[in-house]
Amino acid sequence: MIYKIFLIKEIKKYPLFYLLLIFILSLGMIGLASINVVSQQVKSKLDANAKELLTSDIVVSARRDLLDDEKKSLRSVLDSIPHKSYKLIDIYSMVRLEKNAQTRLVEIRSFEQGFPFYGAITLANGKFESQGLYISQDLARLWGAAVGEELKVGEKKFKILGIVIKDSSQGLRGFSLAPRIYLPLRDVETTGLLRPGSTGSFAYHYLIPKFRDKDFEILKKDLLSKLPDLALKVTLPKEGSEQTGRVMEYLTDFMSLSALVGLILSLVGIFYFYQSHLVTRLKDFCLYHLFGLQKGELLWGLILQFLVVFTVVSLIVILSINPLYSFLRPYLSQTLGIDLNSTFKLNSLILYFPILFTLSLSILMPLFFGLMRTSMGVQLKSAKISLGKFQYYDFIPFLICLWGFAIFLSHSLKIGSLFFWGLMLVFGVSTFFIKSLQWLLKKYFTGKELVFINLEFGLAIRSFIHSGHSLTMSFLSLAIGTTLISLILQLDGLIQKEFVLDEKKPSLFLFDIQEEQLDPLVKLSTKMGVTLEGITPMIRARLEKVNGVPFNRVEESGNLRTREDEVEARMKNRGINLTYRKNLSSAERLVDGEEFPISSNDKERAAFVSLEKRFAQRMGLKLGDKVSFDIQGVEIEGIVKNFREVKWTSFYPNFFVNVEPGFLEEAPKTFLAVLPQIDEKRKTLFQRSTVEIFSNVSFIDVGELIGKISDIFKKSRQAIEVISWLSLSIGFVILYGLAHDQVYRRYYDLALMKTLGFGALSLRKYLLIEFGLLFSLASVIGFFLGWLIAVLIGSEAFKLSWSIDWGKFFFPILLLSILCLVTILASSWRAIKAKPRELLSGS
Amino acid sequence: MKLVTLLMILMSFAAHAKTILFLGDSLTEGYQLSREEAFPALIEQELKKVFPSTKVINGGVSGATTASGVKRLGWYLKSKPDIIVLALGSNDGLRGLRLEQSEKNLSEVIEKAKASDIKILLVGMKMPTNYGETYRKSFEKLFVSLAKKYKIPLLPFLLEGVGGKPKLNLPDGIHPNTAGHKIMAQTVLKALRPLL
Amino acid sequence: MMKLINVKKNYGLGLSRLEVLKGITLEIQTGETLALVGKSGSGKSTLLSLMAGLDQLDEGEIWVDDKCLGKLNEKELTIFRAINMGIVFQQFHLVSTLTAFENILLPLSLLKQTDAIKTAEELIEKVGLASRGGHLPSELSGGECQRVAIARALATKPKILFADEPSGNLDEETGEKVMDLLFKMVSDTNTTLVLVTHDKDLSKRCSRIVHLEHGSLA
Repeated sequence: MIYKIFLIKEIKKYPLFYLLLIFILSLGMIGLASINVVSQQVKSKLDANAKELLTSDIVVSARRDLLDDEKKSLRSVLDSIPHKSYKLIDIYSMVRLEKNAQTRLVEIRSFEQGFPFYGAITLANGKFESQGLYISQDLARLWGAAVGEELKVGEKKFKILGIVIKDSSQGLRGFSLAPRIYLPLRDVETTGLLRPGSTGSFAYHYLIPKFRDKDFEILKKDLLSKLPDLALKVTLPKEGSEQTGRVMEYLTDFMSLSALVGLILSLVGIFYFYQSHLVTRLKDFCLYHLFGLQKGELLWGLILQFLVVFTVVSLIVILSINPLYSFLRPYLSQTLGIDLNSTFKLNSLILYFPILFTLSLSILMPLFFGLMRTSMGVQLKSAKISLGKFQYYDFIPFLICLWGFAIFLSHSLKIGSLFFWGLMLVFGVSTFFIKSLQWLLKKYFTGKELVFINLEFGLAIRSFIHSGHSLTMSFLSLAIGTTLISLILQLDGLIQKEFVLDEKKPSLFLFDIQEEQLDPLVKLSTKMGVTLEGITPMIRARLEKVNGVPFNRVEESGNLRTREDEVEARMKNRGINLTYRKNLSSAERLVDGEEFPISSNDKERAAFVSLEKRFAQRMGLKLGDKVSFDIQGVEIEGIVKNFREVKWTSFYPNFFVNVEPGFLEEAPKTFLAVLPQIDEKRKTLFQRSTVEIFSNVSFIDVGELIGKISDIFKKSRQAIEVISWLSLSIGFVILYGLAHDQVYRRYYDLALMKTLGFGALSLRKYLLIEFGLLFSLASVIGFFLGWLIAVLIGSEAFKLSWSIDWGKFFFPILLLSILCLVTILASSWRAIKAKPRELLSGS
Repeated sequence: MKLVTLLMILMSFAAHAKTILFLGDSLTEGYQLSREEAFPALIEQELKKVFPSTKVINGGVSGATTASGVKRLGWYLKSKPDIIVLALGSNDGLRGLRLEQSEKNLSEVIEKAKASDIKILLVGMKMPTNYGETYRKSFEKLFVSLAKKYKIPLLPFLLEGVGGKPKLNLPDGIHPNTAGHKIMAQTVLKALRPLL
Repeated sequence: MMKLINVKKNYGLGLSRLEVLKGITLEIQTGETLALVGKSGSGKSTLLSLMAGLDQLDEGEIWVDDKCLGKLNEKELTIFRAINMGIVFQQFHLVSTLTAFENILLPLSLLKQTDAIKTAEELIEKVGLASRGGHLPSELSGGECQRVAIARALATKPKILFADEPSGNLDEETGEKVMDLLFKMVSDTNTTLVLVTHDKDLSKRCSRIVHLEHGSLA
């Protein structure tokens, strides 16, 4: 009987409700699914970018070749895994261009067949093969070398087969000091350059097609355990560049949050509409109960019904996601600037379904519990039917599921928890707010005239005071809805700001500029129409004492396994490069302490020192600490005056330690400078001329790397934008439904008021005031709390600096307000047409 | 009589009290090591056993080339060094800078030191094999010819017995570790003794 | 004070046209208590809605004193109704978000009457709910709700009060009490009452009974 009632009769009688339920759930799930799909795509494209930088899936490298037993260990791990590999050896060498007998330093990339696994080496003409010598465009230009000419490399001479115009590989870490040439390893071995006593980078690259991220992590651990020598490193693509790694992290986390938001919005919708529906059905359920249906059976029937609904939703999602994706793909590809795949796998998505079912069922549980608590016999007798109240503890199963799901989806205990507790905060604040407001209004308005400003306003206030449960529900739904919308928008804004690379992107770093060379160099560059930027002095020093106590160093033991450990050891052991600077650079921001004083003639005191925030943390330094530096034999006292934050997106030279001007000017120093992006021709000319006159000045070419990172940033920004809007659309739909429903529920009240003499205009005014007030309050709270949570998540999990994006504050509020107004007007249109005669008994 | 003896003893000490300046790069500075572990400090320790008032100035700056030599020497002249151990040039070589310029720079340093009556020990370096024989030979020759020109003692290779040995170097394969520095200290000390 | 002349009302169009009222002619005097009886589907609710100005007639005229309802536009009709008519529904239909007191106050505030509060206080006293004035309809019993509805209907001192099965949703005892109150208040104020009911006993309490059968007066 249960099946007949709940699966057939009920659904047949109220098709619209079930369609609505299906619609909302589908919306939430399709939202989740699409975000999932898009984010998988984006991530894999970014992964691919990162892989291009590394040229392979995993690399084992060292500054020397692997010893025999190390090679054995390597084989023991990898032989059982289907893979491809090549060896890559990078060495510096002086090579000679035969035609003019000029020698210069180059980086020789010795490669084996297969290089590169990812990315490509593009020649000006022809195809890159492992046949012989290729030189980079830079070298060709600097040297005026051309195809066919001969280069003496070591003991052998080689003809230049081609000129490389694009090389997607960047090198393991660090930048290239000299332009590159490419020569097959077997050829390099004949040059005599690879002998005992050579230094270079020796890398074993692997391509493992079947492996996924997690597998690589495990492989890395395995390799590190079998290759204990600190000299050996194992690198994965995302470690190739700090920037790309970080971008991908941000993107993934943000995407999962958006997906969660979209889903919760739809759950809110479900709860709201299901509750109204239950109230409508209560009388009939009481009748069923009267005719023998047990409460337990009733519950089971409802759960079963929901299972059916959910199954339908799942089918809809599975069937529609592909066509939907195909339809949106061109638009998405264009917006994201990524060529999205034409198909994708649904496997991972299907895993979500049972979890989603549990989650959505759990939000209905409080309603079911309330239903179970209803004394059905009593209900039938009374004129007024009311659903048993649900208690707050009825929500515990849902809350647990939600918390768990948030953590699961974001893969982070921190983010998931922050999000969850953020929502709890919204709930708490909204409830407190609405209850307090109701109490206050009740106190003031009870027994008073109905007219307040006007009658409609007075009625709206009474509605506020007396709506009780349903008002709180709507308010909460609105508040949570707007919070989530605001959260996504603000987080979007905060992250996007981080993803903006400075306009100033360097193409070359210059270093070892001697003091006396600086002016002439600047003059030379100006003459060439080139502006040198970021000219910074660099002074070598050692941190000797902190607060009078000798600064102790970290033991150089076998504990230095992670990159962080190494960096830390380096920090504590070696000297520091200091600079002196009055103001913060555009990439820096004061986070604690005070700025340097404008000028000081008091040279007797210690110099004020500014430290980079994380550096200070690693070194255990605090504000006010007295630090002693040994600057090439001379001791200089310093006091830590402030901490700075340096933007991770800046590629300009930034120092861990800035000393205030006036103390270090006399010390021996060299200068760094940056050449911003300019056209290749001028860049080459500049390099040539500089080397001619200032032969000790060296260059590091970063143009290509930065170009690539800039591209990744741009794509990420766009992806985030698209995903935000996906979540938001769900939010808008739900809020629209809510507003519509609320208005429509007033049907009989409105009919009554018409009977009493209210005109259509007056009724509309009443509705607008009532919902306008409700909505404004809810949205102001929602937007503010959403911003707050965004800042919390942003700073705690994403390490973003907080700020408020007013544009993303007001514009959406405005948009939502208009939506709300339009909804109210539209819904009220029908409701206001309510016929008073329907109030009569015969109707 | 007592006074004269005392004076003579004091003078003999004073005669041996030396300030030694080590003007070099990361090898001198003791890259990634504490100052006490770098070879100049080790030498100081040794010398102090015999000459308690020996002072050693570690003028090593990682990444320094010969171009910075003269300026930095000027900075250290304030400390009135008696001996200078000139160990610059590695970075010039590693960066493939023009050797004629490197030679010129080193000459300036030597001349300036000589003008201030400072004894000089010139420390030579060798380039890794991957730099090619021609260059390596020219690089080595640089120090030899300078030593000859200015008639100053030459320690041919700072990393004698250390270079290329994984156990004596840091993971980067270029900079010696604590054990490596101990050997460097011995090498340099041996070359220094005649100057003391 | 109220005159119905050949009032006709149809629902639907074409083939599905239903003639609900087939020409009702009726006169009601001031102070009269008229019972409108008939089976379900006889058209009494429709007639009530027309008389109360809640719906438009298709043919005929309805006069209240010197005003013809059919000639008034919607706005005028609404105002006229608010001033001159009161309605008590079977399902009470109180505004759910106003207290009992405020429900009574509502028509007074709407018509911007002076001393609205005083009037409302007097009324709520009269219906015996002075102590329950601060409660919402959901907190009141059926009988209490209906009493509030009566007070509300009489608040603006209407000329005519329409009651549509006022005790229909109440149990016998409560219903009787409510009807006693209604009749008393109507007679105290000399308000004309049109009572729609299927209850024979109740109809006998009125001064006149009018039977409706298949849309015509029997």
